[in-house]
Amino acid sequence: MRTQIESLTAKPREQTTVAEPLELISGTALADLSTTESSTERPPEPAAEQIRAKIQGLFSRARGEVFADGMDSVFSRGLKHFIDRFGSKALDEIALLIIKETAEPEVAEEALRWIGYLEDSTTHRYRRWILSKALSCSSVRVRDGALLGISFMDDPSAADDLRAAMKRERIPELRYEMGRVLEQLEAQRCPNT
Amino acid sequence: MPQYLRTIRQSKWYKNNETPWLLPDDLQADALWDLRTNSNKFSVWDVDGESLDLVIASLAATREHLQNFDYALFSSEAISRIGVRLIHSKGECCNGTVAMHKHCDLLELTAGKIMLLAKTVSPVRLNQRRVIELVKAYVNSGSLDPTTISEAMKRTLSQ
Repeated sequence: MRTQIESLTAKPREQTTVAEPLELISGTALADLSTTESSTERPPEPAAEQIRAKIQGLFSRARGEVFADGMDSVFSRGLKHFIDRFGSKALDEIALLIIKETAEPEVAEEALRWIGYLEDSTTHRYRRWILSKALSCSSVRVRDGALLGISFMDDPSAADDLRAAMKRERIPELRYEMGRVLEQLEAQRCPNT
Repeated sequence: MPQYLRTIRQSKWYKNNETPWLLPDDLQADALWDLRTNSNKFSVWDVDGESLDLVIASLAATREHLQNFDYALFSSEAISRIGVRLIHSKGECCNGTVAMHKHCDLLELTAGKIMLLAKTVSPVRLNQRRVIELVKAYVNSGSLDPTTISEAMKRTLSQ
């Protein structure tokens, strides 16, 4: 699974002390962390494995859960907890499940909504990157979840990716919604227009 | 002409022309979850040009977070053409007494009638910013009860 995500394009750097997603995938970042900033006795690889197992379990248990707009769910609470606790390490696993399309589309859709809704400056860029990537997923539900996440995040720097996704989008209704979110982001960029 | 609002999740209603098994004019089966019945009835809200925003704000204010608000409107013409019985009844899943009186039940629904209703759905999405504006406006005007609003929502409204 790790090798699959290595084909993804470069991801944004969050902050120098936080593990870089791609580095995490190869295991080098955790190794670096263990020598440069942490005296933890836990070997790096098992920690990443543990997080992976927790996130995979969360996504797996969410199959069949009923999600409602604007309402927390067992899944959303778990997702927020893991992102809050493990930051970009949790997002590494979440990104894998969503972008490689191994997660159930309805669960991935729900995850993307919350990924955009969360307020956490340390993972902001990484979360925005995941949302932009998910605009290319094959499931319309996942793309809609990514679009909502982008609209909640309201970050104008997602506009270029959204514009590109809009050109690719083949479902007219979703393309229309993308246009509306793009207008929202561009208004944010140029508040006087 | 009266219309009847039902909250939905828009992502289930896209006509997926990339999926070979989904024929033109057909719907994803998941969409029918949004029209799920209990005792062969489901809730809708009687709205007109004036009350639409209030009903939306009232329903949004019962949620835990202010996000998007997706809904569908059934026309009274479609409801009578399909032969669905409609009665006004007391609504409980809403904030504010005005919206409470806008609640209706569609009764004696059959699987065939649900499918016919589903085919009339044109989803509408209100973005988060607009939903926040509406809830704020109706809380400030006294139409919505601020004491029943979730803590997360209060934080959003105070920003």
